[in-house]
Amino acid sequence: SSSASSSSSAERQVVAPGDRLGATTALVAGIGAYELEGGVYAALLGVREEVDGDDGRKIVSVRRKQKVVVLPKIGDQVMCQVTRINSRMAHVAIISVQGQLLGREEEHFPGLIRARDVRAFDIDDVKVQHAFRPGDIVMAEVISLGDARSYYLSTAKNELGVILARSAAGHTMVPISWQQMQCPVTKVKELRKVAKIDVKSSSSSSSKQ
Amino acid sequence: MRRREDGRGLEECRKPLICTKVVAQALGSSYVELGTTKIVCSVYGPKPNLDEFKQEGEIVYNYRRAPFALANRGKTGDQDNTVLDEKLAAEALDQALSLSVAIGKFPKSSFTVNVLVLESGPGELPLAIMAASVACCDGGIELYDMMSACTVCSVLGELIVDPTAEELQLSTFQLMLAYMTNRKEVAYLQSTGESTTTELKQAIQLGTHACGKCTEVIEECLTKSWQAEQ
Repeated sequence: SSSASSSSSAERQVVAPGDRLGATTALVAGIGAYELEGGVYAALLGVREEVDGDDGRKIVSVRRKQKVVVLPKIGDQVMCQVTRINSRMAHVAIISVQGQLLGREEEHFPGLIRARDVRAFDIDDVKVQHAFRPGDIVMAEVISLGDARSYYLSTAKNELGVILARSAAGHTMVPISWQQMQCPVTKVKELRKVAKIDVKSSSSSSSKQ
Repeated sequence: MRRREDGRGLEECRKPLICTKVVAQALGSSYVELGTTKIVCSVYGPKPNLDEFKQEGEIVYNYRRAPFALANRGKTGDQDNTVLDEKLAAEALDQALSLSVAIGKFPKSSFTVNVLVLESGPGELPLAIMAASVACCDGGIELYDMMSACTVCSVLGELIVDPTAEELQLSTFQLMLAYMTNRKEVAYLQSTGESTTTELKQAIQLGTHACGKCTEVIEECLTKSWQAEQ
């Protein structure tokens, strides 16, 4: 089977698991493909796609249109909800991976943000209760597959941290700095590790940086 | 060429009917029919596997018959011993399909494959293997290859493929095999009865050839299912 043409979608080659895509001399297995004994084969039912790789070979992958089996990998950006906290870590439930929602509650993967991974500086003096509270929605990054019970996550980068939190009074809070959020009704300020949302790319007229 | 009672040649297997996406809330699903045997398979997951840390995924197979599936709808004790035990069937599914699933791509997760037999019959287990393979593909689980399966048996010295219930009753040797056509690998083999080595080798050859035909049907079904998505 020759390589697909680059233009019309009607000519894109549909492959099924087990179909041979080519030899490893010319191709590297990408997403949805695997290598075995000098050949590259499809592992999914989908459309064959090729991009140029680094070493002169093309990276071939198989793309499905519909919902893909999504699992957190190291480096993925995940959205999670804090389930409980203690002095050393925050337990979270991962609800979305790279923008793709994990539907059912039973499919939510447990995660862990350790005190040392909350921020990038002063990591010995982190107080977890000043960074997260149960119920907060947090953007984090997967740093390790962790152990049986949880993935290990980090919010050290500026753009990671709390993106949605409710005040003690129950209202959605407004971020006022990287470590404070304020309840719009009671005006009480609460401490959180707030995610820095890029002002240019967001549509809301939020505070000056 | 000798013809069997239903008009088929000795080495001819029936073409199964295969469809996908029959269970809306499942990750992937399939419905297969071969003769009167009907099976629905649904796949759920990935669920976090919290019991132990595993770099590979885990698949749990459930094999159940509907209460109306068997011709003899009596209590368990009344069933004759040719009826396949559900737990053994689940184990056979596990052994066969685990060779085709790329579990290395799913760390710390588990998938559940539920096979539900709506109407039982000869060729039930091979059909279940095909149903599960198609359902996993439909669900987007990475597979090394699609798996087909069939039964070969020996009646009065002649080898016949995909036997009917009557032919099975008369047979002295039965061989069930699961085969990955593109990879040219036999994934699972189960034989009962007496045979010579030559007969066994020939049966395996016939079986893999018949599985190749079934794979063609599976590929047709997958292509149709892909086009329906567009």
